[in-house]
Amino acid sequence: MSLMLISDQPGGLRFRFFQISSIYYQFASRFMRARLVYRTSFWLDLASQFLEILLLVYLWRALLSSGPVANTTLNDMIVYIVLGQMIHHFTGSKTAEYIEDRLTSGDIAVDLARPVTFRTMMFLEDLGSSVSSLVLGSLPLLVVAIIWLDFGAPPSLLHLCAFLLLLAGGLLVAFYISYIAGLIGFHFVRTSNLVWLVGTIQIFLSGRMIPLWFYPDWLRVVAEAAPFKLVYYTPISVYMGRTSVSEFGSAFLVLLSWLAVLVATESLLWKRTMSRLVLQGG
Amino acid sequence: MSLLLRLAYMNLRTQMEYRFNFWFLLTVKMMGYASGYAMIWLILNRFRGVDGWSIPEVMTLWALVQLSYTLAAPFFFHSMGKLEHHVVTGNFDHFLVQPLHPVANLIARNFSWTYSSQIILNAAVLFISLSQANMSWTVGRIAFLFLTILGGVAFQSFVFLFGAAMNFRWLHSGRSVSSNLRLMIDFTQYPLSIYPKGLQSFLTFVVPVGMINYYPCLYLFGRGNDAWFYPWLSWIAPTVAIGVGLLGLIFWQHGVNSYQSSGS
Repeated sequence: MSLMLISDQPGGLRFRFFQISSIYYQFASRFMRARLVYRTSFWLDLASQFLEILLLVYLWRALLSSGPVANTTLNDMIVYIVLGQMIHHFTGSKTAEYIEDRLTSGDIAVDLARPVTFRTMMFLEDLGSSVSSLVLGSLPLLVVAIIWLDFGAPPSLLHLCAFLLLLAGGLLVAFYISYIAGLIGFHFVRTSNLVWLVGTIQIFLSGRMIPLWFYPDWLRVVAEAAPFKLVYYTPISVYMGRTSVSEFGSAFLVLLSWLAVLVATESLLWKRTMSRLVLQGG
Repeated sequence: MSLLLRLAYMNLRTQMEYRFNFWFLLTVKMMGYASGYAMIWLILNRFRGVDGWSIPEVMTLWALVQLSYTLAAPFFFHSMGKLEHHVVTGNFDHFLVQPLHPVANLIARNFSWTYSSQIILNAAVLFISLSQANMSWTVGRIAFLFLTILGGVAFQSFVFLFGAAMNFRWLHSGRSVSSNLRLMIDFTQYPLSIYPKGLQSFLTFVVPVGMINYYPCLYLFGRGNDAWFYPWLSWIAPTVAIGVGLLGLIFWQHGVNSYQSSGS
């Protein structure tokens, strides 16, 4: 891919020798330009993101019309909705489908010969598309939210730092869940079906649409025990100040232990997948 | 002989693998479609409804949208989805020289049978929500309900046709246009009365998505108080929705007329 890019350039050879460090920049800017080619669809996509938020804001305005419920005001919910939507766009991982495609076609042999591990490559690829959707979609959204929707700041700098760290951890959790779903899917079913299933479960257990404190008790117990809340609920409730500073320690502990479990599961599955892959290839 | 048995065994195993996949897919699909209803329940459960509408009444709104979608999609999902490809490659020329109307031709070639399970699910949810909601069953109301569903199907067909027709003029724009229209339909997941007046009139007169479910439901549930022009706006709602569907066909025809083949 990167080689093709280089040879497509007029005077490509010189480019390769002298400007290899700017390849990444080229990649990024081309990716952005590709998304901006169809300008109308770019604006329409942005509009649709805004509409999604608008719908939820009015819904919560109606639900909370008779005053705060469970200590939650409309402004709290606006912060929750906007951050949730931003995380949602940031975590749209295509990893699982990619894994299936590469494994079934056998093209994974090419990936395995690369100087970085397959998982790192996938992660960087995901990060690339996430950053572009952040810049093109979520940042304009955030600006709109700050100007028109009273999008509030976190209660303290410490909360902001904890939020950013937990958010980074949550994104890692989301990536690992998607990656593991891809590896499991390879053994049993079509990966896309499994990804769909995991996505459905995640909507309910992550607190993406509604904070866990509004859940019925039985569902809240399930959601607290599952890792999905680390992606949405945990970082957002820290940003809102619903989690006090004394509870930060336990939040990070939960995050780290889930990450350990996910990393261990992944390496186990990866070994099994690789052993089966050799059998298939032989 | 043992080879034959082995082959038969292998064949069986292949089928089993596919069958598992098949059942798995069916379960996942059902869960996916049920999840929309479950999410409405999860959000409204704590508040026992929204803006005076009970949970079954809100479920009815969404069930009407979902049912009309799954009734329109078998005809239009694949036929209109592939149109962009036909236009980009210039293959659409073939449809223009064949003796059948291009829309009918595309539908006949791309009819999908896989929506049956979802239709059953959505119809069941609609029936259960209606029986839980505050509606008195009369012959007139039942006939009106069928008209409403017909109108919904026409409106959903409009979204498919309009989105596809955009591709004739502006390549690749169809998907974004129809996804934005679908988002506006999503606004009818909850009663329109929760939105500001400006947005309400937009969703009533400009992009009349309220005709799919909100205005008919006002009449079905006898909610005259919080409505505009009650009850005649409710009565004409199915007709308006059917008119919108016909408008989709006109747009499509208009698009075909401005179609310039990309050549071969």
